[in-house]
Formats: sequence, C-alpha cells, structure tokens
Amino acid sequence: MDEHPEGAWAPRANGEAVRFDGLTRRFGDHVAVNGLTLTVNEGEFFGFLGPNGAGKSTTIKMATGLLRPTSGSIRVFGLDPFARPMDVKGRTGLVPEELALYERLTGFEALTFAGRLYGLDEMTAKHRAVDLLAWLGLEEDGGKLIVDYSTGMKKKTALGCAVIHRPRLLFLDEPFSGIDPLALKGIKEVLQQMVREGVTIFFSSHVMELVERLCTRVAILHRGEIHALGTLAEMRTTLGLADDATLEDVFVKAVGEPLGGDEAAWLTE
Amino acid sequence: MADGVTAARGRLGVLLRLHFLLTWRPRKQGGAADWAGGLLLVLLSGFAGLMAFGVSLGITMSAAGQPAAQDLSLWAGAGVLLLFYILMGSLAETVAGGIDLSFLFHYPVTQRDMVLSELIARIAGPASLPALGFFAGCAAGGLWAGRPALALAALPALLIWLVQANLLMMALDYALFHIRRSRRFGEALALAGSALLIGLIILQNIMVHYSTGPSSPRTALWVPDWLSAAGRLLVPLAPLLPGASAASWIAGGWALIPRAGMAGALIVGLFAADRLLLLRLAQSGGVEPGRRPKDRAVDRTMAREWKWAGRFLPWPFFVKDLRYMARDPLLRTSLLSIVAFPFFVVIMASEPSGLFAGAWFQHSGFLLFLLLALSRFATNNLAIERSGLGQVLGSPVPRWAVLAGKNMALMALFLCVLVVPIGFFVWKGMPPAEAGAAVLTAIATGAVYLGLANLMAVLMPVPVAPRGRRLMPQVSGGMMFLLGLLNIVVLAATEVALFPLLLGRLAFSDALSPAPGLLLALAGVLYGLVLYLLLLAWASRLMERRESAIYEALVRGG
Repeated sequence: MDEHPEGAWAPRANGEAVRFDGLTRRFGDHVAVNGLTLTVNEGEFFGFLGPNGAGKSTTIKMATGLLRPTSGSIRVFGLDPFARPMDVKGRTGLVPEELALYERLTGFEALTFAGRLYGLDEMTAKHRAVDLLAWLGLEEDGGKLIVDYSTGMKKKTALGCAVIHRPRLLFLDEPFSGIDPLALKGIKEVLQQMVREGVTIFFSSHVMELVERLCTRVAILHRGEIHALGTLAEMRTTLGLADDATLEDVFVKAVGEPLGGDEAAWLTE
Repeated sequence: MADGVTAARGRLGVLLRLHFLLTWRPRKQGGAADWAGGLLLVLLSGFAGLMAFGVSLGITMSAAGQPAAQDLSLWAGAGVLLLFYILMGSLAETVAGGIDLSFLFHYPVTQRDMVLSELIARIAGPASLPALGFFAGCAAGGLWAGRPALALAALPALLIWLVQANLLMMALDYALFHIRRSRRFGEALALAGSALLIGLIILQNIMVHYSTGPSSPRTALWVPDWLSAAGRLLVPLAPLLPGASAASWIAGGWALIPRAGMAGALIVGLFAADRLLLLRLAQSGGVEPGRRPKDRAVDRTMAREWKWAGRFLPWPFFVKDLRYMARDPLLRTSLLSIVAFPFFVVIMASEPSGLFAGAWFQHSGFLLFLLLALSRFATNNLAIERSGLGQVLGSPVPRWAVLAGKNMALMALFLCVLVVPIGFFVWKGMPPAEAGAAVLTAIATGAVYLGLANLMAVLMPVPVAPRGRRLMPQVSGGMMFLLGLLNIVVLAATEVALFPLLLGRLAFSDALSPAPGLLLALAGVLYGLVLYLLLLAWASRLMERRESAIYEALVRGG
C-alpha cells in the first residue's frame, strides 16, 4: 500500500457510523426487514449474521442507498443516504454479494476505474491499483480480463474496488467465499488493522468462525428481526448459554432448531 | 476520512472511457466475430447514412418551389428516421454504446453524469450515421434550392435530433428495466407502445390525407372519417414529437423561436425523465423477494406432474423453460406488442392493390412478425436462463431432450400468441378451414425456425442478457449487431426451407376449396416436423461435441 498521511484513519470520538431506526422493507406481502433498530459505532468490526433470506443483504442495500426502505430511517455518519447519496457513497465502500464487476475490464483497469469513480486522480488511482493487486495476491493476473478470473479472484478485486478510496465505513456482504486461505489471512490482517485505525466494518457472513474471530459485536437477524445483539459474552448471558458456548451455539439458540429433520431421511438410508 | 471526493464532479470522462472500452473491446475468444460484427455495423450504418442523404436531398430539391410541402416532408422524414432508429436498435439489441449501469450505483456518481455519458457514447456511435446523412442531405438540398437558412439550420437540427432520439431510447431502456419488478407496469408499457405505434400509423395516414387531398379514395379506405377528423386536431402537435421537432425547427420562419423552444423543452423533459428513471433504478436494489409458501406448493404439484410425464424426456425441460419464459417480463412484453399487429393487416388489406389483399400475404406477414418478436429469445435459446445451464449440462440427459424441451416451451408461447391474430381474422370473416390452415402453416414455420435457431445457439452461444434484465448486455456492440443480423439470416433460412410449402399455398390458395387447402397445410406440417427432427438431431450431436465451449461461453460469461 502507498504511504498514508499520519492519522488519516484515526477514529472520530466514538460517533455513530450507522444507525437504523424502525427500518422496514416489504416486497409485496413479504416482509424482508421488520422494524430493525440498531446502532454501529465508528471503529467497530460489526458482524451481521442470519440464515438465508434473513434480510442481511436487504439491510446492507438500504444502508448503502441502493434500496429505499418502506419505512424507518437510516443514518450513515449522521447523513441520510437517500437525501445525500454522494456524500454517503464517497465515505463508504461496498463488496456486494452479487459482484458488480465489468468482466471485460482487466483487474488493474477495474481498480483504477473504481478509484477514479471515487474521485481519485488518475496517478493516485493507478498507484493504489498496483498496491492493491499486490496486497490481494493478484499482481500476476492484473492484466487479465476479469471474465477469466476465478470466483475468489473476483471477490478480491471487488474488495480492492471497495477500499481503494480508503473508506471510513466498509460494508462486506459475504466477502470471503471462494478466497484461498493464504490470501484470506492477509486480507483479515489488513481489515483488522483498518478497524484499529478507526474504520468501521459492517460484516455480513455465514462463516461463524470468521465472525467470532474478527467481530467485536454481532447482531443475529432472522426473518427480518434481530434475535440477538451484543458481544459473544453478552449474548451467551442473554440466551442462558454456558461460558464455553460458541457463536454457532448462540446462533442456533437465537434462530431456532437447525434444519434437517426427517424430511430427507432417504439420504441416509 | 475517506480520500474520495464527496461531491461527485468530474466523472464524465471516466464514464465515457468505460463506455468506449466495454462497447468495443472484443472478447478474448471469438474476438474476430466481435470485430466482424462491429465492421458490419459501421458499414451498414454508413450505407443507411448514404441512403438517408439521398432521401433528404431529394425532398429538399424536388419541393424547392413549395417550402411548406418541403418542410412537412422533412419533419415527417425525421420522424420516420426515428422509427427506423428504434427498430434498428430493437433488432440489434443495441446499436450504440452502453454498459450495465447498475454496477455503478454504489459509486458516488450522479445520475446526471450517467445519463450524459451514455448519451454521448450513443451519439458517438455508428448508429448516428443515418441521421448525419439525413441532415447533411437537408443542408445540401437547401443550398441547391437557394435556402441557405435551411442549410445553416441543419447542424443544430442534427444535434437536436440525436439528443432527442437517444434520450428517448434511453428512457425506453430504463423503463424496460423497471418491468423486471413490475408486471403491471411492463404490460401497461407494451400496450402504450402498441397504442403509440397505431397512433403514428394514423398520423402518417392523416399526412397522406393532407398531401393527396380529402377526396383521395386511398385515404378514405385507410382511415375512418371520424378518426381522420380527430387526428387532424393533433397535427399541429406532431412537429413537436421527438425527432420530428428537429426537422420542424429547420422549417424556421416566424415559428423558429417557439419551435426551438419546444425542441429544447422536449430535450430537458426527456433528460429529466431519464435521470428520474435511473434514480428509481439505483434505489430499487435488485433484491428478489424471498420464497413464499405458495411457491413451495407449486413445486409439490410439479413433482406430482413429473411422475406421469417422466417417461417423456423433454418434459421437465419444457416445464422449466415454460415457467421461466412465462415469468420473463421482457418476453411477455414483446409478445404483447403483437396485439397491435391486426391493425397493420387491416391497413395493408384495405390497400386497393390486390397484392396485399390475399390471405397468403396476411398469413406470411403475421408469421414473420411473430417470429421477429420471438427471435431474440429463440435464436439464443441456450442463453435463456443460462445460470441454470451448468446444471443441465452436468446431468446425464440426452441433449436432444434439452433442446426439444426449450423448443416446446417456445412453441407453446408462439401458439398462444398466434390466437390473437387468428381470432381477429376469424372475427373479420375468415372461414374456419382457412384459419385452421393458417395455424398449421404457423406450426410448420415455427418448427423449422426453432430447428435452425437450435443450430445457431449451439454454433454461436452468446451470454446475452436481454434488455429489461440488465440495463445493457455484457457483450460488445459488434457482437450484438452480428447476433441481430444472424437472427435475420435464420429467418431467411426458414423461409427458404419452407419455400415448397409457401409456393404450394400461393399457387392453390385461390383455386382450392377450403378442405384441400387444409390437407395441403397438413402435409406442410408433416414436412416441417420432419425437417425439425433432422435439424434437432444435428444440433444435439453438435451440442455434445461443443459442450465445453458452450459452457465456457454461456456460464462463465463473455
């Protein structure tokens, strides 16, 4: 990475990074998110867990100004993402679940274009693109078209696009699926370093171990509603679990019994 | 603090570069086809430009002594040019630049910059050549006719036309993308489009009425008097329509300032509409609602159906593709536009010339129209629901069954839509035997067309996301144009393959009584089905051989 000015990522005195207040989103008669109220503070590595269809991606899309809520309010650094979309998008980065990459650009071009779209000048964008390719382990493949990348390489490129402007808040929606363990280790370290320097990360994932290891606080979402919120220790206490209960135990307890009863018993016969 | 400049200024250049790269960069594999398509697009656009030059030059020179008639012809010509532009865009999916704008929605880029960049990219594309030719012809003709003011006005008129036409096309694109989520909106749009088309035809006829005089029997046949009278009230508004307003401005005279004002207002209005539509898109998320209990119940019903139909191998693919296509708003919308078709037939059939009055012509006409409506899906049938293709190719199912299932689904939709014009003809007095023969001919034509379309899909698989699903396909402009042309080639090949059948119908349609005519059509169906089975066997064998290439091209992307 290039040299950052001293204290560029320094946290602001524990302000709110994201605040949802009674956030609701309906699709016809289907309620995807139901009255979500939640605050994520600056400098937090916040985990957002939930089973498939819980409303995680919908929430992230609303927070990033990509989907209007049916009711309720959102504030990102105190700003309404629909009233001041450019200000919010300029301060945040997003790795969406469905990667939004132009496949007929090379990795280097995609990163440079992302930097330019975030308002960096051409030279800075190019320098950072080179740095990011090295950080993500893609320096050998930077000149290849993205269409020829594996899923993991695409994820890495999307992550690079999301951080090239050094956002204050990073939304990661299932960012690590398909990324090899070696690259994952490096990425995790840098993300943790970013958090230490004041960046907020809103991390949605199914991988319990990752969330448990990385996140300072977690929300468990089920059918659009928060079923548990807090640090792991707090959630254990709230749900009446033992001190050695894992996040997976907490998750199962919060959401309900695991799937897989007798419906497909023929599989094991 | 993030480094990104929060006020989103100065992104236009970046977006334009992105447009250019993504529109014209060839794919790694099949780059030659991309280049060939691009070259063809430029050549054909250039040719169309030359023709448009000739037409407008002719108009301005021939009506040199009658400025009023000249001006009327010019704005009508510009309106027709717009229709041609839209039709060309529809056939070739896209004729100018364009990128999937939804990928930019999470960046701090304003809708104004997105609309402006797409507008400039489209104007700079080869599809602008016909308009350039048309207005250059106006200028040359104006100079020849001793009307230098007209020649001077040609350049701003060209700009007005290009801006209006492209903003209109973009508004249609954005609106089509909305129908992904709004069935009612899509269907309303289709009906409004049909109404607009009918309106334009009526308008055209009113113009003929004006130019040939009210006593013309031709006009009286085409348009009922009451409609003509009502339409006459709208004539003053016609020069204000997109496209026509540019040429009406050329007419100049005392009305120059208000007309220029109206043209400008139209541009501002269209630009605002584009921004608004894009903003709505940017804030609509693209999130699919979760599965509902009702959907699960449908799946269980299907599982029961499969038990009895399971012996027929294409059945599961037929059901899958039928369900997929029935839910595809773009397909449904395209087919709905056929509602407008009977009006064309009435207009053609009321032409005094006997050529257009024959039943064989009407049948061929609506068949061609139906196939054109279906061609964007059928000729690329492997790209329909391409995300599911990996699963299909990974399963131990004969490839003919996969293709036949898709064809059956397309044929079912084709026949459903066929009911509209056939019903119309029966209502207008067509004998039932004649109607039956028409349906049988349609089945034969559809079968042969689908057989040929299978071959094209296997030989040239392209991961096209049709309009409405994404803002723009992820395939180069050249490739899209080539696909559009190949669709026409498949249609022409269908006509060639069915030539004996068409010849028979042409020869005997007036001479035979209805029953032998029906028998002839039945023989035609048998001929068509045999041809289809042969083509299906060929395509499925080719598919087995080219499976990895198809998989790579469709599932992995362009």
